[in-house]
Amino acid sequence: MLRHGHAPALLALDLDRFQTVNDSTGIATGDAVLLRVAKRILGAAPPGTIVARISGDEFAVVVPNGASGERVAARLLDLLGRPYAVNGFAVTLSVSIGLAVAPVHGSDADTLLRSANIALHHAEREGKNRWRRFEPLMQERATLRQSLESDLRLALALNKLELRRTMGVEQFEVHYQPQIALESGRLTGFEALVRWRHPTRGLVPPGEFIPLTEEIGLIGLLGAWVIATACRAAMAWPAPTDGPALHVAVNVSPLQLQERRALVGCIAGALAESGLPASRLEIEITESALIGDALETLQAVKALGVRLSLDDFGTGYSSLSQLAQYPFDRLKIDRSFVHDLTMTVDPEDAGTGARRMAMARWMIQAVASLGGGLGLTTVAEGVETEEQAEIVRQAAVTDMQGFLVSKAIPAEGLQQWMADFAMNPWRPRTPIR
Amino acid sequence: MSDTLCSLAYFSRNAIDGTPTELNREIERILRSARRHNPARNVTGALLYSDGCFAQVLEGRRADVEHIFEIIQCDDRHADVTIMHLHPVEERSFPDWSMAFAGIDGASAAPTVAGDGMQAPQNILATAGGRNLLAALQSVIARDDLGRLESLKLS
Repeated sequence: MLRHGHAPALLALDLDRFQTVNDSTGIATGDAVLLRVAKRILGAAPPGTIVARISGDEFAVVVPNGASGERVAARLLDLLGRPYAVNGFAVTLSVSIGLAVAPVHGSDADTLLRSANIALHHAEREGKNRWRRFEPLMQERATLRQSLESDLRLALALNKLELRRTMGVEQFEVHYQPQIALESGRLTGFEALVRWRHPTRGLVPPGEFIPLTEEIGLIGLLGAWVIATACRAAMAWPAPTDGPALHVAVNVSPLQLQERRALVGCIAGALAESGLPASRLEIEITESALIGDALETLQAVKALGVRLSLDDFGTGYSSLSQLAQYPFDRLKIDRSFVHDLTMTVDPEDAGTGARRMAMARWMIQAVASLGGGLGLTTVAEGVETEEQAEIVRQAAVTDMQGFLVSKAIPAEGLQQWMADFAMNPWRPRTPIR
Repeated sequence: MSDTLCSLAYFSRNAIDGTPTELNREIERILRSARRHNPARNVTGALLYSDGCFAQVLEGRRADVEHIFEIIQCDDRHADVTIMHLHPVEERSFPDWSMAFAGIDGASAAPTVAGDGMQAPQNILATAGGRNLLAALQSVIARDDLGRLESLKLS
């Protein structure tokens, strides 16, 4: 590959959603389109270019002069995206392209092709119809993804076999963050938060592995494990002497919500297996999940007797009228509003700071009053200071969670934390109204 | 099937950078090339140009129309190509034109082109269907101009 004396570039092309062309126009037309695609690639290729069809709708293009790789990629993106008139069909498609340049991204064909393919997958994940140049960071992500996938499969398989403790390979943990009633200071329950303790990487932030888990299609399995684990844990919590039993809130991904039968089945299974009363389980979903037939799914979940809570409220686009249709019991006010309540104002830009603080205050009051009107409880997330707790309490928000009371606690530390909290509880600053 | 008489209309945006004179010269080249290549495949049609936009009708045997369109398609002198229709027709709308040209508002072609078919759309010799088609294409272009004006006002 390098015998020409200068470094070539390799482009990996994948036609986006080509299957739909075959499905809608027939295979003969699909083939004719592929022929046109090949001709357009050849027509745009600089002299000396090698074009290969790798599989059904994938092509590889080796451009002899690596420096022109980006230009060729942009040209192909434009050209292949133009319409096709074939067998009486007007067909439009787009292409995703990954670009790798020798020798920096690989000095042999295998490595170069792997790099180009990794860049191609990035282009596809970013929404297709674009080209991306390989970056070493992509390799790291690909490696992490690979290790996550095998580790996750292993962890879940071992979990099923109940072997994980004896083998010492438990990597996923559920931590629990306390939720406190603002008027009484009483502990009402915990939000279950999954953590991945990687054997070599340590704690991997959820923001990093949850999206990966969704991408590789394992969120359903992980989600089911978290629900089952959280229900079992909640059964072991002592009953409070002065109020209702503690609840446990579990996050459910929008993707899980799309698999209604699987989701309803795993919630019902976790309740049955643990013996936890359904009323003690709360399912949290984000605003972004309220699409498609989410309403029917939520009603099916609700019919099990569990509580429903809307997470990160205020950051999405759900309208107030829409909100009233959903069977929610609880609204969680996004941490960004709580943060803005007492933000440090930049003296250079005091106007903007003051506006954001006022806006946050109004938002919180509006959500609390909306919740009150609809008969829902409201939880302020990310409460870190007494001052913030006092403001949200005055705004008639009913509950809070955040570092002021405690960060999320590993399961084995919970009993101790509860004992400590009973001895030294949080109390509102001013007398109860 | 590939013998079926077919009509294809598309709409695209001019991608030629340059002075009006250079633009006219390019359009002249496009027409010359069309008039040179289309008769061999018995493809007829009309090209409209108006401030920044092309609309073109191609008609002939389906395979020929698709072949010519593929060549036009990959031409860098235009972009954002949208196919408006591709369907069988009973008869040609522009039987007498290898490529009639209508420069609407102010796109004056060079005299050689003008003498060779530069016409106001209503003067192009076409069947009633052809005149309707030209009117439709014209309205698409006009709507696009309108859109552009709106966006200029907004910005």
